[in-house]
Amino acid sequence: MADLDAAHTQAAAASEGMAMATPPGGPEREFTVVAKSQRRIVLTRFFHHRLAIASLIVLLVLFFMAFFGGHIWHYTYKQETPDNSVRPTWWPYFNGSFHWGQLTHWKHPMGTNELGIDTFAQVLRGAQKSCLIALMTAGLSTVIGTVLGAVAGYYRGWIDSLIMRLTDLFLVFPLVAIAGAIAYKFTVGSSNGWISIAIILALLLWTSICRIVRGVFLSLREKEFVDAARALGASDRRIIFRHLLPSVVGPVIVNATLTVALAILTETILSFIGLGVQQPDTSLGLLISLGDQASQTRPWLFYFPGIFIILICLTVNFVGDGLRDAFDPGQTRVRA
Amino acid sequence: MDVARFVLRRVLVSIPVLIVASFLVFVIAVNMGNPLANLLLNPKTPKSTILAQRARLHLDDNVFQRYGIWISHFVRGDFGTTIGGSQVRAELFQALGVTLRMIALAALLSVVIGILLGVVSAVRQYSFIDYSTTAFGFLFFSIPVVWLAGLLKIIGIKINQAVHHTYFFTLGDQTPGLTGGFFSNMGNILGHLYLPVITLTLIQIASWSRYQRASMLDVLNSDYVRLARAKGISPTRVLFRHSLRNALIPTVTIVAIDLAAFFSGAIGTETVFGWRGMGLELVNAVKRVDVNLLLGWLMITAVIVILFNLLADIIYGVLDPRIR
Repeated sequence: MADLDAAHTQAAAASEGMAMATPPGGPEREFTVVAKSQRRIVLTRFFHHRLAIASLIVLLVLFFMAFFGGHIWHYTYKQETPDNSVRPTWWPYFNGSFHWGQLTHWKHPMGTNELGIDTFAQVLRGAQKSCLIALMTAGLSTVIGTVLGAVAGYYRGWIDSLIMRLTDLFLVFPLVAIAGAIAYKFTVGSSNGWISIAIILALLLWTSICRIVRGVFLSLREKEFVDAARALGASDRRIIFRHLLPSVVGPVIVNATLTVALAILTETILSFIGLGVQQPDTSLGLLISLGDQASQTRPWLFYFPGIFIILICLTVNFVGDGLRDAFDPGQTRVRA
Repeated sequence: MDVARFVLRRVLVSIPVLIVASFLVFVIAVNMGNPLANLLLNPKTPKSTILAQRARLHLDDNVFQRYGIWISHFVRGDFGTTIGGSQVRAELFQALGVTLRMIALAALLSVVIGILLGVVSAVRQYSFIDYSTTAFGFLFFSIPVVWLAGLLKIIGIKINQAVHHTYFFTLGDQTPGLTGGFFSNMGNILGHLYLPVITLTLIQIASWSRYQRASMLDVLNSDYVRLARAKGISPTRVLFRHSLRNALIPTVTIVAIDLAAFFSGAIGTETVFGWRGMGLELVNAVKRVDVNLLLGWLMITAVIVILFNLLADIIYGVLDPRIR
């Protein structure tokens, strides 16, 4: 807090100094001072974070594959081709039949299953469902968590205690168990099961964002600039939206990115144990489950969906890390 | 005296949480679906049977009455019967014994290795070991637990085939039909434990070592540690007495909170290795709309998690006298 105050005073001093240095109609300056907006500063810092940028590019490619790949690829995830149980054409196997010509043969880059369904098409479709669930979960839980956290931190009192006890309560249960118990009824025999899964996960995952927002609000509401705004006659709504919410944008965005990874991983367990996305629809978790049952005979069915999940989660986590550094460089800097 | 009062206060605080949790669990369980769906599928089921079943399961009472009936039995240790007619309590405690083997061992290993790695990478910041721990953390933070379990299963089978000896059992929690007690079958049970425990441990170390590293760095860069060093206290004493003791406090909380997450991971791992533990009980309870079984399941895990949070609070109090 002391650092923040010092920064405020410094900024104030600097702006005063600037005002004195450039009297209207004064001598021509040799340099110009361009005001940098907060957003610009954050973006500049983020774009200097090489790992985060590389991850962002990979992540966008993965999302593009998940959402549009199914329309471009020449097989669909349900289409049974004559080539059943085909290895990926470039699979490195050492029984003497491998030759370089196979590398250019891209008919089934990830092989097929026992019905001849193309694994790549299935992974694309599974990734689409998993990404939809993850993005919707992250979006919804962020909205719920931010609203409840803002209310709790700004108004305090009984509503704060109520919301905080609620977040305590959610820590008591294993996420997969409670989500599975609620979700199964909605997912079995339904083609829109993924929406229910996303809503249920969002209703269970808002607590961490809520705590973060509440914490920031609790400390900021005592600051002078809030008193000043109130003295000028600003309404609660204006104070919350104009003066307080901009301060939590950073932590909220970082947390939302991490929620994307958490939601994908949770969906995987949920679908794996049979309480999440159900056949004939598919998700990466369901594909891993089917692949695991065939891992001794057709291991490629098991490897590829998992590698896709790892790529998504890894890049999401790197992007989240880059955003954290961009929004709050002080957090990772260590005092000498 | 002071500690006793502190513990008592924490116990009293967790009772209302448990009561509210039990009601929430009940609402979820009774809304799972119709427990008589299978019975209704058969058009020849006589109406009298259905009515009798409805009365037996109290389906015609409202949710508060049903909750009252259930909780009054539950607090006396009667968990009711499953759809199949067996005792929920006996079944769940048997499954819990199986699952706790995996969870306890994995938690112990993760705490020890996680704290060790975190402390070493904080003390040797930006060294090779720090970077490799970070890379390891990021990787295992992004791996689905069920995929890692499946991968280790494939590797385990490969190793078994290569050495012509079954070191790693990949199916079940022990070989079926074993006679004798726990200790005479220890070798067999351990053989089944290796892979699931390694799975859970690898995943959990990833996050706990990060927390430990962050809190250790915080402490190492604090003024009082610098003062301790300046006073000429030996580096070992500064590390263990002044730094580690304080750096452990945030980790204790995280470990207790993550216990619920441990159960989530264990459910997936058990399914991969075909264990007959809590994971299977949960899936059965949900798929068969077994209200009593699900209620028992969620309440047992809730009590365990609350007890561990209580324990964490007490350890907290021991590590940091101000909190008492």
